[in-house]
Amino acid sequence: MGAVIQNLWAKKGRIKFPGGAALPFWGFASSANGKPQIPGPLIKARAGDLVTINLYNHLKKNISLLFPGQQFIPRPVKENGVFVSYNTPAAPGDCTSYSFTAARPGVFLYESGTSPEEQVSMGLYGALVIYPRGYDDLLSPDYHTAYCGNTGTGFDVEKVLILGELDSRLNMAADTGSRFNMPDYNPDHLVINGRSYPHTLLPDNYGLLSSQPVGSGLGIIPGQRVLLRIINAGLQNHTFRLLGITARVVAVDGWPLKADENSLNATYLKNTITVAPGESYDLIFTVNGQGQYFLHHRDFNHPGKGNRFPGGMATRLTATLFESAGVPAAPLDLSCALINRKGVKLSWKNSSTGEEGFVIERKITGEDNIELLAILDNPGRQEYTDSTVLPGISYSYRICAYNSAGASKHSNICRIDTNNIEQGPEKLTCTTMYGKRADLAWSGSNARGSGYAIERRADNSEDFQTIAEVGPNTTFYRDLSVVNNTIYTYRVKAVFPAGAACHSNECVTVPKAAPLSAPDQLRSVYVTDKSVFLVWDHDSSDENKFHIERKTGAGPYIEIDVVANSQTWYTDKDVQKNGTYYYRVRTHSKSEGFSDYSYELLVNTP
Amino acid sequence: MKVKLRLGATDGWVGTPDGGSHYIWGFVDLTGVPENKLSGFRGKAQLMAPPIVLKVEDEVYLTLTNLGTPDRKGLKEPHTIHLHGFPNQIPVYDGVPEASMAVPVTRDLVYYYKPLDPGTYLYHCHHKPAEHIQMGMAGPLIVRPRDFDPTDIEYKTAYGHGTGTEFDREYFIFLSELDGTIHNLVAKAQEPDWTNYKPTHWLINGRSYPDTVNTTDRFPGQPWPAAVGANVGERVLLRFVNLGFQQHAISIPGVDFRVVAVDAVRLQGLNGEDLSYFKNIIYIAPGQSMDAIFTAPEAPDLYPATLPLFNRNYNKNTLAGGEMGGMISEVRVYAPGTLPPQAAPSL
Amino acid sequence: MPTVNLWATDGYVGTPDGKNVYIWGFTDKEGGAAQLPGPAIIVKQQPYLIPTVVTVNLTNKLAEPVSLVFPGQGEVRVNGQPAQPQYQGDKLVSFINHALPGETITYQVTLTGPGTFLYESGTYPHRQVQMGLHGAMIVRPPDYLGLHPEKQTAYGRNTGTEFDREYLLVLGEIDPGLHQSVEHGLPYDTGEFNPRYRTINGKCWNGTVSGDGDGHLPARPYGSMIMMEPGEKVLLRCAGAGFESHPLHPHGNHARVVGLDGKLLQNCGISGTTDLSFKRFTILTGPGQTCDLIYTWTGPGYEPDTNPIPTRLPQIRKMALAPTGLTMWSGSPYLGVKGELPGEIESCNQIGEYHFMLNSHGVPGITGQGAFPGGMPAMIAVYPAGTLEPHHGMLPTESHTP
Ligand SMILES: [Cu+2]
Ligand SMILES: [Cu+2]
Repeated sequence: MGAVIQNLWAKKGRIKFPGGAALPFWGFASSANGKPQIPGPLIKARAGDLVTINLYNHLKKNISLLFPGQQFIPRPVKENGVFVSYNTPAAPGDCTSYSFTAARPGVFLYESGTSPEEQVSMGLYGALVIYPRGYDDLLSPDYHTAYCGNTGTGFDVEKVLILGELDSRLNMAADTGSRFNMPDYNPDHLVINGRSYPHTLLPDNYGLLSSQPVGSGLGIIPGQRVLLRIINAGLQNHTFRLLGITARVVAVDGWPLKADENSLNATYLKNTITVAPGESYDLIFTVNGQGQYFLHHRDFNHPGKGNRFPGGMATRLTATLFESAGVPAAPLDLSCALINRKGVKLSWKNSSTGEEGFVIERKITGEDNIELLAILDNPGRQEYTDSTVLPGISYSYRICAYNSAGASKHSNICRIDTNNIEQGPEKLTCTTMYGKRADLAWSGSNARGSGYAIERRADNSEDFQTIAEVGPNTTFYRDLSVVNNTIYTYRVKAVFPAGAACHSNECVTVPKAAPLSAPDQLRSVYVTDKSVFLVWDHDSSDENKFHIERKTGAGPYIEIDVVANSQTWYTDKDVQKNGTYYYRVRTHSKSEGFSDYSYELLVNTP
Repeated sequence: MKVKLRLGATDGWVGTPDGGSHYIWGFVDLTGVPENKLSGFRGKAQLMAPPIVLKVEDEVYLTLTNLGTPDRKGLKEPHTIHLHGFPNQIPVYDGVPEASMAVPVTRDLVYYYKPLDPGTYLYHCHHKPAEHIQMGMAGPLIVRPRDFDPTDIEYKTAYGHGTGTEFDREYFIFLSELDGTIHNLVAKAQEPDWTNYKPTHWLINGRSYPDTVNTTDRFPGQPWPAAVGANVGERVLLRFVNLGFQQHAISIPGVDFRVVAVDAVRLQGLNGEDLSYFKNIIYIAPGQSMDAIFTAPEAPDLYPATLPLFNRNYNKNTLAGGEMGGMISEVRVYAPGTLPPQAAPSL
Repeated sequence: MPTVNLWATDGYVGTPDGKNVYIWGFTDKEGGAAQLPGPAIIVKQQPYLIPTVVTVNLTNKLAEPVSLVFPGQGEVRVNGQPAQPQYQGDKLVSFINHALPGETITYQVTLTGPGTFLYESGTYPHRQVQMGLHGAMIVRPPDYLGLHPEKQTAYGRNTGTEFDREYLLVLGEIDPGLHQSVEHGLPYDTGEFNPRYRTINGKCWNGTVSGDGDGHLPARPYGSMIMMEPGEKVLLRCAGAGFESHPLHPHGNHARVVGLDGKLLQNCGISGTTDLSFKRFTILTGPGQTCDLIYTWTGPGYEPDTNPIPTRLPQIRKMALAPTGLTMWSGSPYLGVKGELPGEIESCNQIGEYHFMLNSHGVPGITGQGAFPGGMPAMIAVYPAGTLEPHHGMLPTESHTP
């Protein structure tokens, strides 16, 4: 039997999320000088191997490791009779070592056993995959199987997806040594292998994600048997869907559902699966058609940072008939130019085939940080416009092409500075008044330019559109083309004959109509033992309707009818002798919803 | 066998290790208590509710007596007993007040049932169930197989001779949550809003760690510790019940569970297939029960070895957000022959 | 091959506390208002080896793109091409081809076999699925024959899934705050998701105890009042359309889970068939997942004269009755017997039928707007033998075949 030795250095680091967010985290590095990573290094072993983990603690707190699912008896440490660590810890600056025999194949976690609510949340976890002994021996019946040759777990492509989540507030608190109140835990970053969509699509070891080195995009050939190994390192349940795919669940927690040729076959089919914290599921499937398949979180209330779609725990499988041709070649001849009303336009020559897309990186001269500006998730692109530039700044850009085999070398760097662009408009405010309009005001002058462009974005549409242009001495604009109850985001851009200027700040407003007034003066003008004739006043001019509600005795109000807006009366013919009825009326318009109720009217029938 | 049991419904107080005390409603065992002594049990509700142990074919007459809530005198809450999971029940014995009746203060109702299937069940009050379950009116219930014999290792089983469910020791792992704010509101006679439910304490057998492993001190309202003890090599049956409102994921690193039954049904296919399975995380939903057996692992030179038992939803393992607490307990593995045979579950 | 026409549009649903909540949803009637859940698509699988393709024409009457995904089904084609995710610029908009506002898109869905499935929007699903753009799809086995003792099955003859009646239970939640945000065009933040209503078939208690097509609830056409007779096998098709897991507890008996995500829990091999169905007294249906259950209640057979109940009931008027002002109880412990209830009690009981609750044990899943009852409890009503029409509680064999 073999031996597997893995050294882990626990360290502080920073991780990045789409949109520019970054968080401090704690993770394991695989070398003394290496960067910590989330999840920790994937440890691979064979059944029967002796696994030794040497843990070097470069953090300021005690840490330890637990190996759930292994035949490993932890040695908890207590103070005053209470656990302070579930296993022997390494003190800051110290080292400790754990070893055990990898008893059975499967996919497992290793994770911190000291204040795990904090330390596992901070990123001190990773996966351990144990293979059957002959899994890489062409002649063995166990070749390319997850759980030996007679368990129906043969595969062509294997992918480990470690689900996790992060609550930014916890990371900030732990980083500064303060305590986060765990009952408030409500993660805002959901990750697969430490990355949020669309970063998940980038290849392994993508340079700018040095602490999140593992991608989860999958490129396969139709017909290949895909072994998807999902393990939840988070603190919450996650429901994961394979859209367009029905998979066979072949193992749970590393226990095959068909243990050997004589045991019954308890595998089953699923397309959506809820994975509890610490659980693992091995799924096997094939896809027949070429194309893209999303593997994503079905807990749609957590799509990702800012709770916009798409984001968070999602990745993609791409089935193509031909295997990718390897790492794509670097794009050539990157050039950048200021483009009127657009920002900085990048152009390049695409010299590769078989790329999945391109990544744009940007750096501000004088700063260290290189920003992962955009992922262009489609092949063949030759240009991109960065509309997020600010004035008075010198930018450098470089790009690369990527596919599942990896990222190309970078293109040349192009530099552009916006120094010579005049300061643009600022302090943009927008206000709405009742009645379909939005008023914009800003400050600044555009004496050398040709004026201002007013740009607007509605609701969830992605792009700003220019709705008007005004002269250089203007600082006010009234937008009469709004629709009530729509969210509008405005920005104003100074326009120059020779190129783009920068944008103002953005402001958001929601124009509203005057609220619907409630029907007034509800009265009964004619009451018999068979009918009640009601009348009310309303000054509504829209396409409103009136909703009439009635209550009998102590019962609830029930809507008895709806009438058109021109009709401010109603006859209730469904009444009985000596009845006690209460009525109320409200009006409704499609755009404004319901008004308040009229006051309540009591009617006693004779 | 004819079994007569009596439970009282009343209020009481429980403590958590962060120094908090919480108003509860719950049950207290009145079996065998003379009528003139009943009032002495007012205000003595227990969290978790007293475990009920029955045997297949017992004829169970379970009397519920509503003792009222001495610490909230104005309150006149009726209560019921819902024997959750008993097949072929009829509504008058099912405890749903919208479909039968509830027991007002000072009154009794006798619930009858003849259990035919062994397993781990649960019972709880079904009057305004969100509130009454959260307030503490919930407990575990065991039905022993007909051939159960604790003195014969072949017949000391969860589901009967030959079902592969032999065990040496058995423990309740009764999971629930406590929202301190809601308990406080109820104590002050205010209406909680259930959509704001946000637990502050997570409990095993009615206690929060480290009280869960405290087997020496007495907790009058919470008589059940949750520490699991076994001699090495013994088979330990954990009877999981979840009567909180959240799913939980319980783990004991170093131990492999064999799940033999879920919801009091042995895992068996229609044609008798053995569908018991191994698991390392017990993922359990509210209103479910699970029976899992593990073998106390060898740990030479560590006896008594301590294996932590915790909720893998690590955020639930704190005391109101503070120190380690909540759904944590431990398994203590002793050298062979150290622990004497177990007299009753969880002892 | 069946063709289904759906319109994505908006509408309102009422809640038990008298509010109207703005929804988006599907309707299969041109010009109709949104339904919650969407119309059940019920189709029959073709015999072995003949592919079954359902054509779904979706017309989008909303102001943003809308699409349909069919989890668990086979290939989906649009205009003869395999459906694909849709991007706008560099950003994913839909998991599958969508219809822009005003447009109609045609999906051709190849079925994978019998079972209970979901269909739902694949466009901005964090918003559109919560707003109501979801529904269930039921695929009947090729040999399905209604009211035939061996062929009225969920998964085909000899699969152990015969049933006498069936009910569809689409489980979900409504966060009225989010719906209001959409209605008024305010920012929509699902991170603050706080569902105030848990629903079965779009309804809360006590809308859940009304039958199909209840006149008061026109936007929600499917009842969740489960009616049956003793000993009958009732197929409950549960579909988790919301964002939460719902642990449903049927009183009165365990239910046998026979299918998950529309797949029969059975494996066939050389050595024969392995049955993987399991019995539960609480069935957890996760979000985006489905679960087929078979429930029976036979009862202990108590009769007033020949087999009386073994305890003496107390004087009923001294007990607490009808906690919410209303009871489902007849006043008698016996099936088919109407007892005496105090005059001030209003009983919904018809002929002495038994009522068993089917309630969620989850996070206040049985409260609505924060109070009990509300939310998810539904009722299983067991009627005396021979009193229900044989077809009562049956969904049509096929829903959209001319
Ligand atoms: Cu109660
Ligand atoms: Cu229950």
